[in-house]
Amino acid sequence: MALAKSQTAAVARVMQGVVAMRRQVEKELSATSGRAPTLEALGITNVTEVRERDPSAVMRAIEELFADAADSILRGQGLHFEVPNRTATNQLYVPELDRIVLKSKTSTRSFDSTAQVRKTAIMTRVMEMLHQVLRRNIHTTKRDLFYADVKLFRSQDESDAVLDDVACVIGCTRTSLHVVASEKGVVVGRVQFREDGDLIDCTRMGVGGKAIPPFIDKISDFRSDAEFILLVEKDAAFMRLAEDRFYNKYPCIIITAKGQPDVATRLFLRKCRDDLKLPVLGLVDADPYGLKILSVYMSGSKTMSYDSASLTTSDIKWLGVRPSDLDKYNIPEQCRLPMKASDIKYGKALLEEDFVRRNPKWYAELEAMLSSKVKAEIQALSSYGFQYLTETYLPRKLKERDWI
Amino acid sequence: MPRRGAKGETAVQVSAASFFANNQAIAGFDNPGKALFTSIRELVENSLDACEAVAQLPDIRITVEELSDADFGKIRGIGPAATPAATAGESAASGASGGSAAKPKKRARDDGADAAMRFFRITCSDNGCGMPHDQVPHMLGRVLSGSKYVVRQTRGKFGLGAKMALIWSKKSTGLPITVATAHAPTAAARARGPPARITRCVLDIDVHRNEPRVVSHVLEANEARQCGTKLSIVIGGAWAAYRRHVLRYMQQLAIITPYAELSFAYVSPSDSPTDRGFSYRWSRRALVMPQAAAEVRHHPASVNNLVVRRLVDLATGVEDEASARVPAHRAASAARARKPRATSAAKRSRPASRAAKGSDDEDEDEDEDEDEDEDEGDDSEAGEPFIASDAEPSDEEAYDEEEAGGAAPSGKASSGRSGSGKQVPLRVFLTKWFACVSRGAAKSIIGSLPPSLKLGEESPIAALGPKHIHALTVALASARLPSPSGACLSPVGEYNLRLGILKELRPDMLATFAAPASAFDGHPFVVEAGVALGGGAPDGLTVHRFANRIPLLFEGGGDVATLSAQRLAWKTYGIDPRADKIAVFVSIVSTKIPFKGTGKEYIGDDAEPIRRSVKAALQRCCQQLKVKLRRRQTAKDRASRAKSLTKYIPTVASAIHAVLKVAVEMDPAAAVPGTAEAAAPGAAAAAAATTGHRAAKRARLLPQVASGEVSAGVIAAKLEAAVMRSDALDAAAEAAEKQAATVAALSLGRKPGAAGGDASEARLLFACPLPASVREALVPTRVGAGAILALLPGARTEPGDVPDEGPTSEEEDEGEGDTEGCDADTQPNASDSEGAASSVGLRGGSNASGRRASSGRRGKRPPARDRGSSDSDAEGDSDGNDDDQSASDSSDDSDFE
Repeated sequence: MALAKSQTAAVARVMQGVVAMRRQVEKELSATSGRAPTLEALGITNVTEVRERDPSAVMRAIEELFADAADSILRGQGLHFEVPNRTATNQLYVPELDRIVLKSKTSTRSFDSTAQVRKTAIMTRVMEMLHQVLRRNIHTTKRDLFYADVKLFRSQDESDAVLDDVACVIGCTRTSLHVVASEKGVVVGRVQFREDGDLIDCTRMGVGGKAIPPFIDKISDFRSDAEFILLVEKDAAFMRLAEDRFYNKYPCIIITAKGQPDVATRLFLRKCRDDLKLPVLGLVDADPYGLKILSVYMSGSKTMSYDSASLTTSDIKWLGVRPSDLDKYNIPEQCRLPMKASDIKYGKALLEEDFVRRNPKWYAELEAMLSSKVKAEIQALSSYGFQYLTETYLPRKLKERDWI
Repeated sequence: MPRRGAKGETAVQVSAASFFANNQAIAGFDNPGKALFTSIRELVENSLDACEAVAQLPDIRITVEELSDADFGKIRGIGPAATPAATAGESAASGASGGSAAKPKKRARDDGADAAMRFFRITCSDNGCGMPHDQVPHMLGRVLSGSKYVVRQTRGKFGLGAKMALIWSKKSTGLPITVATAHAPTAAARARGPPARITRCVLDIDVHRNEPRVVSHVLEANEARQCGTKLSIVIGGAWAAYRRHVLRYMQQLAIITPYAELSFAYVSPSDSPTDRGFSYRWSRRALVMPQAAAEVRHHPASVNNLVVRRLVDLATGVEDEASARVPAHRAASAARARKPRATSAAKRSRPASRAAKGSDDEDEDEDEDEDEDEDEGDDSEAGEPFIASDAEPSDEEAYDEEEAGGAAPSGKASSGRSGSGKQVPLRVFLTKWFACVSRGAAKSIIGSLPPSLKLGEESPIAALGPKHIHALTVALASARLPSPSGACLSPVGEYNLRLGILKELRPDMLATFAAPASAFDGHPFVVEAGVALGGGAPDGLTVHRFANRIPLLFEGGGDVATLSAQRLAWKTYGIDPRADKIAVFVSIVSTKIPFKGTGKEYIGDDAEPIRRSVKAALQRCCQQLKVKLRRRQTAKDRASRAKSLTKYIPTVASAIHAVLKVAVEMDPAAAVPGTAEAAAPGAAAAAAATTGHRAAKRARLLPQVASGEVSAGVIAAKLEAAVMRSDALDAAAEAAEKQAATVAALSLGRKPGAAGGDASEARLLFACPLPASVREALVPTRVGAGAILALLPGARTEPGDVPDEGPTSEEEDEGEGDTEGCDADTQPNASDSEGAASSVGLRGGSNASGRRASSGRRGKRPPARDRGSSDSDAEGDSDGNDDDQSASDSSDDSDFE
């Protein structure tokens, strides 16, 4: 949309810092993408690396696994699967690639012990089903998979648990298995992409925004003129920003997972950042849980840490709301909520986390929060007016480059 | 205390009978229901004693016939009419103790019972030794006491035999008792056939004077060829409330005396609209009776002043039990004829002191068993060793104790203590008249007496006065002496206990244990315990208690057995005290049971040696059960394993086949045999680059799938075969491990499973035959199980089968001799060996050694134990091959977080 000339100038001043950051990010990402060393080059051998693979490769892997199994059965040795161990001790973090790989320890799922026979049978069946799914090049949800053979999988937990095993054995990400979860996140802003061939223009998605599709492999052709990605925790803040068309004034892409991030949103964020080479700014509540959400985007969860390559987006900047903002912006007392004992306990646990320790400023902010024993939500800003967030707070933050 | 009147007669006296009549709660007659129950039990126990006295397998019949009011009235009508004088006397006598016989209702109120009093005729017949004709009135009609120079284990709590029932009968109905008895004192006499003559007696009791009143007493030809005694009494009681207790009592008795044939019948009143009568029979299952209890001398730890005094008197011949017997009896009957009052006065004074004692611990009056006494032996005259002679009441108050068997001569002599009787030196007195006192011990005891008393080893005991006696008692009590031996006791016997429990309860699993004899307060005792699981018992924990081979049914809450069972850590043995059906049996036999409470229905928890013994016995039983439970569990696991595996075979087989079939469809080129390897070199290279061998396998298999050579059925069949084979291999592997572990343990000179056992038993176990190669390997060095396995030919062990039990968990198992002596112990390197045990040879050997080990251990137990006990499970669990399992497969759980 066209803006008045005076406004344009003001916006440009605000966006100065962001633009500079974007350029830098662009430079960095372009530089590294080409020179990603291979594991062999790094001298790391005998590891299982999990990567995106296309369906035919996955199918082939399944077939080979089964051929191996059939061969062993026919030779009278029963059925065994070697599954890489996904515990913390078997994980290796490769900083050059910023990714976790699994070391060589494996556990055997074999058919001849009563404790394991069920898991083995379920794994076999799931692989068969995935093979069918991949063959038809469709996607299925976890629940769908469960219902395909309810009698065998007595509860959905059993079929879910096997999926990660299968992914590790084959060496592909879970999304490569074409198993998706239902969509949760929403994106709005200055970006266009193709989803399964259809062109999606997020500037024209109304105020609701576009639901982030879980089939990340069907998304391609990102195009955007945004300067940054704004990652929002709460749906309320997202609505505010969308309705006010914040992205038109300050060109950006606004993404939210409406709370705890799901796999699809994380994948999308990563892909967005990688393809468009944009910096990511996070807008979360000023409490330990907000920080936790940022951490999930940044370093992911432990169970799927092997898949961190595509799920995690490092280097998210904490834009707001930070504990120091409470005083800086004179947030009134009634908006500052006291922290409960469980909040404090959680915050203390967070202080021990890597992603906090790595960033001394974050550490300082968290400490300040814990010592003041006060938390605040993004909604606190509404005490100054419903549009305070979009008209005053964010622009001021961007102008002052107040992100850490 | 008896008061002496001018002519030596006492005015208000309380005889033993009267005492108990007035304090019937003590004897178990609190209310009509309990009175009925206690009467029945007394008669039964009496009969059992009679049978065991002549080593006769008991055959006891009890009939309880409830009388309708009309019938009872008829009976009562007859009674008084026969002996009007007696009736008048009775009424006067019993006037003080409760209502007249006329109105049941009044009596019920007087007795303070809430149940309406009804009337029952109880008949108890046994095949015991019977009573000699002359003695019948005395044995039944008089409550007697005895001397206390020996102790012996007896049934019954007050030593009154069936007296209380008779007194109660007198009290509640006033009707006489009817007895028919055929006397056959010895087994030899029995063998000659049923006695020729039978005594029929109708007897009444004068409760206050404590003497019988004979209504009729005839000796006639034994046409019915009866053996033993048949006693019939009519009492007041209540059936409904205590019926289940009666039946429970009978069943418990059947458990503890499985060699007895018991039958019980209840006949409902003739005027009742429905016939609620029934009869029940508990058949005999054992033909082995425990040895009879022997008499032993007092142990110094159990004596007090009075006992010592009495022993002194007996030793000096001042009162000689032998002379006190026969002549006293004759003297008594003569005296009775002449001086009824004096005699009864003597009797009265005695019970006064008993009353004073009350429920004191020193309940040696248990010993005053008179009628069917084990001592009878051949001599019918010797029938009552403890008859009181007609004592003058004079000096008896000096005793002030219950056991003043007070003969007149003794009375005089004791007060005078002047020279009459033998000269017995103190040392001899101590060594001969007490148990466990050796010459050295006697010397030291005498040495520990205060010097002011001037007593030496040779001091004549006749000169001992009260001061001396007291000092002597103190010295005896504090002397350090060996504990009394349990050889005089007559325990149930593990064999009989097992048999009894099995036949009555039919449990799934049973473990019994007999603890070695121990002593409490100078009295030896033996605890035998059994724990049964499953079967007909109710859920949860039920404790059955036995004392001196009679069941205890009431007041169990504070009993040592109940508390010990509750305190036991059942969970560590794999038993859930709430969900499982557990029946605990604890039997304690002793020359004196430390009963608590006036009712004497429970044994206190505070007797430390007893508590310890009970706990140890229960623990041993639980250990045996733990092993059996584990074995059963493993067997069950094995059985279910195969089933659970084969369940999944179709799924897996069809899945694998389906995928490969689809692969064939998608890649027809690869399905053609032979062309796969010759396919485009790029493809081969690519395949090799990724997972080379797998790709090759795929290439090889797809043609087979395409041609149908490999189908889902084929895969399924092969998988099933693999499962079965691995199952069999598992079994063989575990057996092999076990043998290897056994052999390894033997090589170290240890009992298998023990950390440092005892060498003598290891030597015993060494007697098993071993292959020569193994024997050579064993001797010089420490050999691990893996090496042993390597030496022996035979089966392989399956890799990955790691037994999951460490040595510590098996350590307890070696204790019991009931399982095979060689329980498996685990050796860490057993699984990774490729050698193995020869299945037949070594297993047979270790089994033999196991049995020998058990017998060796068995031999070490006290000889009083029944050797007939079958150490292995009576259910037929042999130490057989199929049970040689210790561990199941380790469960290799996933590493998910």
